[in-house]
Amino acid sequence: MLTIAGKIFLLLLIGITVVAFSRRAKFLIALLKLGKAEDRSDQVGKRLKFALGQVLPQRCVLKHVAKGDFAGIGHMLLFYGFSLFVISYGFHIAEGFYEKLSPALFGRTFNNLFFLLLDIAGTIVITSIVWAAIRRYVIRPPRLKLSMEAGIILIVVFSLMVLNFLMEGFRLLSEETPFTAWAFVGMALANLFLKMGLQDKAFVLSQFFWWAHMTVILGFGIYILYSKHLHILASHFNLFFHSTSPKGSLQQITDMEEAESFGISKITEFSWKHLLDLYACTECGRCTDNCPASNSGKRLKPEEVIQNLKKHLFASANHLLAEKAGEKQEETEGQAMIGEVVTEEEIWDCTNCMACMEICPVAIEHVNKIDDMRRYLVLMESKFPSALQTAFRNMENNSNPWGIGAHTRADWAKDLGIKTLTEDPNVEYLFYVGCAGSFDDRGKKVSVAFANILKTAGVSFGILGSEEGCCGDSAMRGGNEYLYQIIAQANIETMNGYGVKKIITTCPHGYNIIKKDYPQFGGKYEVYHHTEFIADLIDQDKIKLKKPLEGLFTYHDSCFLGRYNDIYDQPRKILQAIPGMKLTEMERNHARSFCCGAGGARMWMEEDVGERINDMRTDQAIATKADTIAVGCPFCLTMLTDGIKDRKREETMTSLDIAEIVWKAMDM
Amino acid sequence: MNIVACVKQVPDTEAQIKVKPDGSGIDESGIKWVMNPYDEYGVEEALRLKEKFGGEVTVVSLGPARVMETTRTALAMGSDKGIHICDPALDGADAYTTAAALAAAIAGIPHDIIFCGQRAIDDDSGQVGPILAELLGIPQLTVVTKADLDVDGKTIKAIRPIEGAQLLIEGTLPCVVTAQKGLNEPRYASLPGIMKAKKKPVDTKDAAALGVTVAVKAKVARFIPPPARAAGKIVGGDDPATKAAELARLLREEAKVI
Ligand code: SF4
Ligand code: SF4
Repeated sequence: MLTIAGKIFLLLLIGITVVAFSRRAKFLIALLKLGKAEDRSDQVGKRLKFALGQVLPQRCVLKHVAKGDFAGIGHMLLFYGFSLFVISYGFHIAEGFYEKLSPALFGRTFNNLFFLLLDIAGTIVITSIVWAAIRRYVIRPPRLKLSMEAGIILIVVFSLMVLNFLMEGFRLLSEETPFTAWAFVGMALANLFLKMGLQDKAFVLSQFFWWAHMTVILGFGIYILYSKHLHILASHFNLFFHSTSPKGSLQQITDMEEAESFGISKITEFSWKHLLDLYACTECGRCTDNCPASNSGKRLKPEEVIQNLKKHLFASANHLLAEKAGEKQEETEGQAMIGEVVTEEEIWDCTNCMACMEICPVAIEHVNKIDDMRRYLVLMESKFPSALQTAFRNMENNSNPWGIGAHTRADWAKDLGIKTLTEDPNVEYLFYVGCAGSFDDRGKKVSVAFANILKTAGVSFGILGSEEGCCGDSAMRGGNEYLYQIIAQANIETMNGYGVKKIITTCPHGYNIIKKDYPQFGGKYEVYHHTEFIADLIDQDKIKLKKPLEGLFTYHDSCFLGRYNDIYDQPRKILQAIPGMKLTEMERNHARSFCCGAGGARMWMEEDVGERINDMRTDQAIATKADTIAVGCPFCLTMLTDGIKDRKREETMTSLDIAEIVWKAMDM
Repeated sequence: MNIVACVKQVPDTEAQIKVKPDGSGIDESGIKWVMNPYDEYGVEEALRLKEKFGGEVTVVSLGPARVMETTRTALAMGSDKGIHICDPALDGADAYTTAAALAAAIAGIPHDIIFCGQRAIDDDSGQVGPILAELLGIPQLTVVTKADLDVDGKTIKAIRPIEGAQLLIEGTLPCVVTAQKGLNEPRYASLPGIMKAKKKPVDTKDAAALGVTVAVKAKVARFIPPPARAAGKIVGGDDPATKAAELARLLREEAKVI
């Protein structure tokens, strides 16, 4: 227990900490409130479960350990170790005021175990820090940038651990009945100090180190809020407030007729949650490390986007807060968010592949931000790559980005005897073919193969024929929400007109948008991707895969099927059901799959900076020595077919859709 | 500056054109109508002039009610107001009558420069712009890929590409300029532009209101669809030499081209 003076001094220290902490917290919250309102208070139980489920078992950083992301282990050790210490600081303070409030309050065994654990933790933390320091400053993985702040935290945590051990050692030495005998590091140090003849000074020194480490920890408490380590606190909230809307869906723009501006061009136009994202970023670099745009030498680096937005928010904070308070402001020419903080090139480089969001340990939503900025550029400024303008026009005039006459949409099905819904509206399933399946020569072959499979299996299905429209994915992800909404509403009207209930698509883009975004306009259907559907047909024995297929296969997870919809197993299951199937995996598969480069309307834009993403993915497939790249997406099919051509492998390698492979194996 | 842009509505280039059984015209069902691409260059150039010199852009169009949509497209791009000449008597009007109607409408408003497409992609006549200039009695600079207005806004220098060279044409305002591909890259209407266009004023006028008497000088007698392309033929034969001989024979005896 402390003396009266000690207590007053400790109170003073705590007081200072509380004041400094809450001032900063108030400021940070005020900044968040500059953002637009967004309701993230629903499903509290689910949110809590998610946040705790990520933090407590450290899933947030451990989820990709199996894929070689070992840094997560270090973080986990630091996290558990440090949490234990936070508890110990609580005891220290309590004990300072009232002696009995020590771990001993819970019994001797608890007391001993507690200090044993603390020493183990201290040892682990010191080891992890040494490792972290070596990693950061000696090994230097490219994704980590050397930063002052990262160095500071390592030093602070390291000194906390050392101070704690010193205090413990001297305290053990000074007490007649030591408070525990299990603190092995403390005991060892006490013995060492004894040998060094420091017993007389033990009490004073233990007091000194006690105060020293109290000061450091309280100071650290303040520092957290002022530094990048804001994430230590903000990330928990960010995980709690994570998006619960369907994975990868974009929020639709409402009141299009009345609104004055569309999309986002100013930092305060983001919702508070998107601003909280900026606080939560740990600068771990995982997003950039996994981003196909960054990896192929484009300008976009998702971590930088987040960090630059954060800096921009802080740099304009005073101005914005004063403005909100109604104070008159001098016209200061702050940085333009689009153009200076985030460049247009960065915004258009994104393939919407969601690798960043998948890997981000703190649930930051990059894609939504980028697409909202695209919306501003397209809808307000009409500023976008000119190739995209052609695609938009084509979607407007012929309801497909290729711009091929809308009346030829169902030409692929001419000789197959497939009914349109006008001919028979009572079929069970609508096969929504999509633009690639209707207009692209390669895609048409997939449509034919899949239709043949459905016919053989005796599935009752029909198509919309020339009444079908583009799904709108390229318009939506290209920032043209207006065009997308027109397209979506027309489709929904047609489909609802026929009473469509169940839809099968061969394109993951159509699948995703119809499943997740159409419901916002009253288009509610049961949607199946053809790989899900074929897997079921195989399970139900409705089709027989009898012909063995030669060669080695590898399956490419398309972003909109895998990461967006968690469909990883069905396509593989289908392939495995083929007799003699030899299937291998590319190094990047499942959730870490590498984009083909066509998502986010990139399919329609030029790719003239850096390496071509499709070629990189093709190289990864070539590395497996596979003869066939199996895909479940017409965009991926085009991109990989091009990649194979670029790499001059046409003679030895092909890319085929799962439906084509299955139809071959059915040998009809 | 008072700028006028004339726009025509035409079927989309990809639209399937079916000739009515009696050959009197095309079957309009299922056709997607768009702004004539050459007129779009004209509208864009008009807007750029407005941005540089200030003033107003008036869009003038002619045709049935559906043409309003195209007029709105030009307004969404940034034009200020429209005149829509809508009169069943003008359906199927020839180039002269069309130009006369446009001239009547334009004569009634201040005009410093008038843009037309160099031709429309449906009938390909390419006469409306020139006749319009004649009727208004002002100079015409046709099929231009570059149009530079002097700072004083009184004279214009334009480039017209011709076979193997280009002409630099100078003229004085008011004048008619017909736009060729390459003049500019037409903008994509912004969403606020689209919304605002719905409220911009469009004056709908009929022939009587303009004082135009419909006197058709040229009439399309009959629309005839191009002959359906015959299926291709694959030349058979065991070796290249026989194949070549057979090909030569077919070209000579069947196709009669050699
Ligand atoms: S969505 Fe993909 S391309 Fe876009 S920033 Fe994230 S990782 Fe990069
Ligand atoms: S956005 Fe997420 S993944 Fe990227 S650096 Fe920040 S915390 Fe790491």
